[in-house]
Amino acid sequence: MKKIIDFARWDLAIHRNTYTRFLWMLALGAAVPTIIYLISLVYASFWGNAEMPMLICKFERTNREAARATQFIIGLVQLFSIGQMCYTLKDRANRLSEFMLPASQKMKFLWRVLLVTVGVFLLGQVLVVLLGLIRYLFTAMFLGFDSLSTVFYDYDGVSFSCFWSDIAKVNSGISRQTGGLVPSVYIVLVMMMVWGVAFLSVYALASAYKFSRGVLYGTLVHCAVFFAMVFLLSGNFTIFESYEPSPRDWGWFMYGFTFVHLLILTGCWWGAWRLYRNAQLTGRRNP
Amino acid sequence: MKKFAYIHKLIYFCSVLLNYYAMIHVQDITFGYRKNQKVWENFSIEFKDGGIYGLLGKNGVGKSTLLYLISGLLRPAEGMVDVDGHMPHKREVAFLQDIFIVPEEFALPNVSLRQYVAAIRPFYPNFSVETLHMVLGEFGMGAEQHLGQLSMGQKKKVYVAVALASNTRYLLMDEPTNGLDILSKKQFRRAVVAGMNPQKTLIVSTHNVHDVENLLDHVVIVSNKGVLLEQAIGADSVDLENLFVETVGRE
Repeated sequence: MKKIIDFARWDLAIHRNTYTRFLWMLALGAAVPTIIYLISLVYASFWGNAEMPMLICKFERTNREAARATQFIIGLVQLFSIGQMCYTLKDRANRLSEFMLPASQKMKFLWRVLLVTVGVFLLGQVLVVLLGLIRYLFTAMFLGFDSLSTVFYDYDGVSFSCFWSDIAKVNSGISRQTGGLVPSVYIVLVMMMVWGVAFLSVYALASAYKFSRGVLYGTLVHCAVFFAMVFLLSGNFTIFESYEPSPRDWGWFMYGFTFVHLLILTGCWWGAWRLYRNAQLTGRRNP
Repeated sequence: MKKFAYIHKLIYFCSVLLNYYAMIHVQDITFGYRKNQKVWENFSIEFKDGGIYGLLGKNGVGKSTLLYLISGLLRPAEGMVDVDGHMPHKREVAFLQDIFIVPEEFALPNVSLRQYVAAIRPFYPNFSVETLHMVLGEFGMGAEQHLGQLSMGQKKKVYVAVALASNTRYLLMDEPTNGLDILSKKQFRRAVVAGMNPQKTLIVSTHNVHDVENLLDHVVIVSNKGVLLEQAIGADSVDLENLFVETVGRE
């Protein structure tokens, strides 16, 4: 435990600038809906149209396309931010520092895994909660405390892009369709798999010593994976338009789907570990 | 590579029996950055116990590559590198704790020296803050520095000081005097003398032979074909430049 803490301290100290940049990008991505809302508050305040912020809240909540578009922007920035994590290995000097540090390869890799999965996830949730609180605060400042009741009951700013709220909605939908056969933990695991695939795609390409292009390609790959998963889990099962699966079929589908993706997840992390363990200083003389 | 794992064990066992063991043992390595362009082919070299080695050779011969192979940053396509019974490319903790490389290009973070030392110190069990301060003193620098505000030459001095303070058994330096002014080069020599002891092995790869010739115990001149010259330098001073020109010229 102490060793991983030491390595974490080293990584965060040495690559402080990279992680700060990553943090700002993540915050900016998550802040897009909040920024839109705050602009509407200013508009409401100066032009006396108090309905505008409420309309935006209702629009965000009821308009699925707007919600998906906003989630797309957030997801895009967040996924690209994950690619920034590999910038700590972007050049020879940084790779040399990391490879020569007297810590086990497994521990170095484990830290990166924790940072990308648990760290980004928790950071995202903290940001969403903070931004929600900012919404409440500025709503009270611009429109008065009385307006908070409307906001609170008509629209929960925290839950708009809240990962757990979306998961709960998707889970309840699937649970309804499958007759309660699929427990929610599978949904969480599948979503974690998305990040696992994202990490592998970025790291695999980055480890081919073309770090800058690798980050770009990795971002595109895991954007595609992310939105494929969102599409499948959001209930847009248009491929089943002519077929109405029974709850039992849905159950088997989700169990099989989850099992396959757990296998993919395991394979992804194993592959990423192999790449990291065998990585060399450079594959080219002057990268 | 697997067959050389057995050879490596056999050599280690035999050398222990013979009470003779080359600390760094490079055996028939082949390495290239590209498939049809080999830097080293069936190359062998040994660095024995303790002392300061000067690794000389023409531009592009692969001196830096050799240091990277010894430190495990690169893996030979064929052959074996053995450092005190460790295979460097595996990057085991025990091996990494005993080796430090000062590359020609390095990165220092934008933090204070105190923070940097606090971050890396837990990884080197023999790290000596006293040695760090002593070497920084030889360089005429204080301990309260912010690494982001230093010039390239100053950063190199700090990096060399940290390398010597880590008290690793093996120290590899690639062009350590590049970027240093004349006074700093003199300070570098004093710092190395102050920071070295008989248990350590220092391998310096350099073109600037005059910067290090008074430091060296051994000189090794290499080419693509192999080791051209391996010679101990005694008490008498040796004109390394002439020696290099004659040796390379003969090849």
